[in-house]
Amino acid sequence: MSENILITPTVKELIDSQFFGIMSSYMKEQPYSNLMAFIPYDNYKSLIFVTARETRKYFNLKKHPEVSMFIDNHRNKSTDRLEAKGTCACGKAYELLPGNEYDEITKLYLKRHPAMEDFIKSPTVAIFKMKIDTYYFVENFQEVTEIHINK
Amino acid sequence: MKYFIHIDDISEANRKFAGDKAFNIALLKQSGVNVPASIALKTSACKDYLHSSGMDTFILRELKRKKLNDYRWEELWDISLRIKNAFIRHEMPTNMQNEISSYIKDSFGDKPIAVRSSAPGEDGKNSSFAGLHESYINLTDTKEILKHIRLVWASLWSVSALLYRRQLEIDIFKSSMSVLIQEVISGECSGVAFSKSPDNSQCIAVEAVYGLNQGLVDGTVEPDHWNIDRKTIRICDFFPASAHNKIVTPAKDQIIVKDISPNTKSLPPLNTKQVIMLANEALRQEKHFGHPRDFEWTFQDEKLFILQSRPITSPDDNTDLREYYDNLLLSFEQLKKIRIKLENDILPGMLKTGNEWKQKNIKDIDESDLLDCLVERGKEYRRWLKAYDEYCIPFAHGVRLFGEIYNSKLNPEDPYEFVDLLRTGELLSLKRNQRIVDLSRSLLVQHNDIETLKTIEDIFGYKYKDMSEVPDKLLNLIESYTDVAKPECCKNTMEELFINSFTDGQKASAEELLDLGKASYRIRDDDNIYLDGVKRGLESIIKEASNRISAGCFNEEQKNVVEKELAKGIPELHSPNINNNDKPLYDETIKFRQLVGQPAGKGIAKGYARVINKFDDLFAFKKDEVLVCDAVEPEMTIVAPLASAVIERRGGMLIHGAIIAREYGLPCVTGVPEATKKIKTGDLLSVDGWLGIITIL
Repeated sequence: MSENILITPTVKELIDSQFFGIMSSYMKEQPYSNLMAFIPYDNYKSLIFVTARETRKYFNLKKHPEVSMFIDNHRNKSTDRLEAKGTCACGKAYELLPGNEYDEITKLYLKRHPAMEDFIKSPTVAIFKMKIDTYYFVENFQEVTEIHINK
Repeated sequence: MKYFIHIDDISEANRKFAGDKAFNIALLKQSGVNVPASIALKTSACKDYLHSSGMDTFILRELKRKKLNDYRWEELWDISLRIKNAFIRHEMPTNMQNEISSYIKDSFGDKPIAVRSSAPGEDGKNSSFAGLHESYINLTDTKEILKHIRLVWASLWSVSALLYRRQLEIDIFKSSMSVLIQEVISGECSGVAFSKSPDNSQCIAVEAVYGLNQGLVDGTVEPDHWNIDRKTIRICDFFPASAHNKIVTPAKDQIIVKDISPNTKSLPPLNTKQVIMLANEALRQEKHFGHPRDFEWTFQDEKLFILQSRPITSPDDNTDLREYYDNLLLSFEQLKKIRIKLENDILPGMLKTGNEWKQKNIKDIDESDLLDCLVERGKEYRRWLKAYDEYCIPFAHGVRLFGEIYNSKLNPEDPYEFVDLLRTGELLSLKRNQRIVDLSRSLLVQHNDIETLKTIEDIFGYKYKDMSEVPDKLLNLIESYTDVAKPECCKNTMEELFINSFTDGQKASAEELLDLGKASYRIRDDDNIYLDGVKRGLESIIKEASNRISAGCFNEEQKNVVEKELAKGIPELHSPNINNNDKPLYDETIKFRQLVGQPAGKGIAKGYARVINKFDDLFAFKKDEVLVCDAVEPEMTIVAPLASAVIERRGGMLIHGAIIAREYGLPCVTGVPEATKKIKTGDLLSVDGWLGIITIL
């Protein structure tokens, strides 16, 4: 299998077009969601996001790495039901420690989100690499495709 | 009057809100021509209605199921039917109804009115939607007026208009519709005129009929025709209609065709003075607008009224296309003629050919005769295939015509309710399938080998000397029919309801239409069985010729002819979209979870997929599996009684797969892009025939 065709062009286009996704972590036996600035990484096998450590989501992620990120392009119009595309990326998120990919990922992240420079460089902020197991992609209201990654 | 523009206020500045027809009428009036009292219902009314009723999302859902270019015309017809039905059922918001009806009342009082399509851009110099959008004449009742305004809006998505826009690459999602509302001028005679005749650019052409010109426009009444020299304004040709025996006149909230009075039968509708007046008007309009024009007119009490006027588009590819799309929808009279041809000539001919070929023993004939037979059968099969295209396919429109009229009369929630009225349980494929059930049961008990072999030959076309020759895969397939229940025959309790929705004077025509609809539905499936009989005859001779080539029976000259004939193959009815490439189209990491198509058969079922790519795959079909195929071919309907659901790549609500699924009460989803590639044999499926969703579990 070629490294270049991990995901379909439509899913790639959707992920590339969005700056933010809704990340859901696990908190006291219920989901907990936040809007997160992300970037795709490693040929879409991973998503990268950052968070301050003194947050609920950081605590949740450290306790339960199972996480999902919902990325979509809806425009809050009545026709979104048919026109919007969305993908629910599921996987496990781990905090990156300095070294190895850390610098490269920081650079890539800032290229996409330059306004986050102060934030990401703060010692109180952690970078998370979310390794994707599956993208569940929905378009055309009900058309669902699963893309299994890292399996 | 948020939604209206009076004809006197229409100008280039607001043309896009009033539409082309209203704009052209306004220009004519401003130039001093008599036109009927007119107002334009702006495009914003249509937009507001679409938004408030949720119809915008509904239309989007219909047209975004897949790429627009991937829809077959039958699918677009289905979409068009559902959209039209939704327009009929969804009334305007109350405040909109009140505004529209009170403004119309103020403008026209109780006079009958016409509501005409007036889409921006519909009458351009390079494209013309003439005949593709709808107009309705002689409406007085407020509810009827509002309903017909909605129907004019709906015609923006008529199948012909959709196809034409797609061909011209006009954005379907940006099109809008205004409605020109006019007083009906009930003239003594009416017609059309062309400042440049489509047949002779040196002449002006005038056509005229008695009464309203709807009869001329829809082809019900034959017109008288004049050609007038453009330079001298002298009549150079006059072609009278073969008879003046029909007239279209207004009746309550509709128009009707009546017999003409005996006194006027021998006279043309126009005198010379009137013809010359129309010719002069044609040239005047051409000069005024700066290009050739065609227009509809009527004479009332000797006074000429222009009803609508548009540029003459050059007869290019687009004109041909528009006419082609318009002609896809055949009239009742045209369908009646085709039915006679089919029932008296085509179908008996196919049956006779198939039977004669089946009875001929080709194993015992010499090589020379076999060669002649091969060539003749190839030629005959192609002839029948051509007849199938020319007559059988167009006749399928009888079902559609019936459906449109049924829906307009009874306004059903389900736009396909009418199909139940056409089901009689008489399809040949159902009878054939019942024979397999009977055969299966007889195999369980004492049976006569000779009878069994004869039945197998009749049904499947395979000839065996004794039972030991019958392959296990065929016997296994037959045996799986043992506990198949007979499909329930439809109880036509709706028939009375349909007939009673017509006035007493119209009931006979309604019954005739119902009969035509039933014949169209039945023949839609039966014609395949007849043609299949012919195809089998060709297949058998091809097989025999191939065997004799292998055995070296032919001389060199004969061999060349046979090989040439075999190379022609057997042309198919449909070109299946089969992936012959061994390489999977999709990466193994991708799993299709939910697929979407047209909900063509109600119900929900769960079962394992059996993907049929070739005829032999049918032998592996097991009871309660889901039939997945590119296009349901006639031979595939054999396994319908065993199937739990049907999924087809080819789309349509009235295609074979959908018809046979409906007969057996199976959930059916059609028009699923790449169904046979995305679904694999053995996948566990849930098929939702209500929503058109397939889930791969």
